[in-house]
Amino acid sequence: MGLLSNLPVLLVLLAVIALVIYSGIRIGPRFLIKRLAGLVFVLFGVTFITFILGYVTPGSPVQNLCGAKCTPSQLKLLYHIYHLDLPWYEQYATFLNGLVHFDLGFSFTQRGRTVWSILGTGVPISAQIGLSALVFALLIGVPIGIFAAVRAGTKFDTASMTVALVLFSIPTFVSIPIYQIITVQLSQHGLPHLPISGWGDSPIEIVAPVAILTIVELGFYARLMRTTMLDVLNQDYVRTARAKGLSRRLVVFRHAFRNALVPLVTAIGPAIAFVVTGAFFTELFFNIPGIGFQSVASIGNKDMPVVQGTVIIVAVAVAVMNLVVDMVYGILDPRIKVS
Amino acid sequence: MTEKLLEVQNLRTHFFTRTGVVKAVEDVSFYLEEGETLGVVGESGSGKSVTSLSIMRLIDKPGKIVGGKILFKGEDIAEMDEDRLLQIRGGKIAMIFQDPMTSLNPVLTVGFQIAEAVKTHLKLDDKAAMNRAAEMLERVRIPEARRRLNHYPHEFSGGMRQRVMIAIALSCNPQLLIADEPTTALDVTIQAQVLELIKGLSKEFRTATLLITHDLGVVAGTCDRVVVMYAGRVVESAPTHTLFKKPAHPYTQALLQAIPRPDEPPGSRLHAISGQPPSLINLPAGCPFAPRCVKAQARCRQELPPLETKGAGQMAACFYPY
Ligand SMILES: Nc1ncnc2c1ncn2[C@@H]1O[C@H](COP(=O)(O)OP(=O)(O)OP(=O)(O)O)[C@@H](O)[C@H]1O
Ligand SMILES: [Mg+2]
Repeated sequence: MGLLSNLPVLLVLLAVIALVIYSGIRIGPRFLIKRLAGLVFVLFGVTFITFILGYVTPGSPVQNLCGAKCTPSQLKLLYHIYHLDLPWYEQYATFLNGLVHFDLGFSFTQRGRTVWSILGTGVPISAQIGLSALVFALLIGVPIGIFAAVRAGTKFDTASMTVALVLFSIPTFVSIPIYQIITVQLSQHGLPHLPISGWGDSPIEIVAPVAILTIVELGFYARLMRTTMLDVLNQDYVRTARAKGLSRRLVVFRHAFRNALVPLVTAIGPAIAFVVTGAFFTELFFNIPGIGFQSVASIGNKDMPVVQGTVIIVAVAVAVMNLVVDMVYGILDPRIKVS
Repeated sequence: MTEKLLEVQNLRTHFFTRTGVVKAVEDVSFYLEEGETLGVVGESGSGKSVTSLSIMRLIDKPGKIVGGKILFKGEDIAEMDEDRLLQIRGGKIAMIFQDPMTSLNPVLTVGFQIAEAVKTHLKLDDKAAMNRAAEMLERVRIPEARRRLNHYPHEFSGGMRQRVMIAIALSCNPQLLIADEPTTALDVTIQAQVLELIKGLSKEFRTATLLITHDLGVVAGTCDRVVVMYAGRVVESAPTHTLFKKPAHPYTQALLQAIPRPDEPPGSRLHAISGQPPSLINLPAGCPFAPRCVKAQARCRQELPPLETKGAGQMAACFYPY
């Protein structure tokens, strides 16, 4: 594992940083500052809403934690540890104060574990799987979509888009069990096969979950790319490019593809952000301790600090990716004037 | 007889649509001499654009050139392979389109879009190509040409963008310029300027011009000869002055009457041609104009009149001309 398996995460991080710097120079720092200020405002709102949700959730969260033989003094201590004995505004202030120190408090259900450590183990695993799948889906899906659009109406187009639609429509809770049944069969016949499930024992375990997610997303991106490319290829400026005597390759990539990137970026931005929520079914079936599994479990357990932590992380990711998407727009399309 | 620059012979371009075969261009023949300006006029849908796109071999599915020859200096474009075609397009025959607002790529600078053509056909390096681009912008009279190279199309007005299109088209010294309604989308005040520019530059560059328009007024001041199209066919072709003085085909006569004239008292009625052009899917037997023609006889509805010489340099497809 180590560096190699974290490569997609690292690459995306590097790309984001490079982009912020580049667009800061190109579209101007004023835009950047304005957007960053907006981001802070949005996050403030999100933290407040998540806090209030936790505050008004009925039932005493620490009662369970304390157990059946709970003495009133023990309960009182727990209330104090979780700051539940304070009035709401002081609770919120403590919550915010913790937030800026990257302290999200303790889990209600996992004794002694901080929310930060739960997120800190889950999110990287989910991100690693999610981003790898996204990268592969783009690497395969985008060229297929372009090719299908260029060859619109041919057998390749019809066949690839039908397959893409099927791939996109099969839910993971169907495809994963099918994969696992096949794997069991393979192993019973002594044939080479991938692990059925598991995490942390061997780097090869990542292959199956990434492949499953790639397949779903691949169908989506192939179809999206075909639609947008087809639209762009029918534009007047593509005809102008052809009338200049440019080769088909130049027409498709220099003139059409660049204009088809905007819808693609619009889709990829949120997709990267939601990687931090993890893929629930994939993590469940493959027994992966990612954040998707954890966060759904914490909702069931009314583990409000973990739920709040997840919501905040998602909010940060979405807000940051929106900013990134806007900056990419500014770079891709000179008509977008940022004052 | 000298070889013609362009000779279109019995061109037929059809669109195979779900509702039927659209015979957009049917048996069209005309020619262009070197340096000459030929006007192509006709109502909307008469096949002018399809004819010009056929010459560039830019007809896409479901359309197809199903017959005829497009001889450019003796070479048949209709039969040309892709490699040769890429040399012809932009290099030997260039084209300007109707809508300058959508004809330039919004994400590439104007300089790049000119230089790109130059690099493709004149094999210049980046720097020389950019110099050529600047020179072309100057020649289409865009102020501060060098600075404007780095601007994007949205920073130009419609008229300016059409000038850029002209710059791209003429940048590689083509022998033929096809201008498909180059002024239709522009403000009336700009139209004349752009037209003058095309006229002047094509003379300067010694480029023959195929000027497509539905405006006979434009033809009068610009073209040496005129081809009149109706329902995908050529109904008349003649030198411009002959056409205006002695139009042979009743359709041409009707078109001429539809031009507003300064010598008529204001408020007098324009003579619009009554009726609709026929569907190109189910063309009636006989002359396609017969249903709208004031002179039509029984014969016109049964037999298709061939395009025949009627006078000096004048041809018309009509049994009862003049
Ligand atoms: N892609 C297409 N599919 C089907 N029919 C088409 C297609 N392109 C053009 N046609 C048909 O071909 C005929 C001729 O069209 P064309 O564009 O050449 O007319 P035009 O003379 O240029 O008219 P306008 O003055 O409006 O530009 C029209 O009836 C049109 O419906
Ligand atoms: Mg047209």
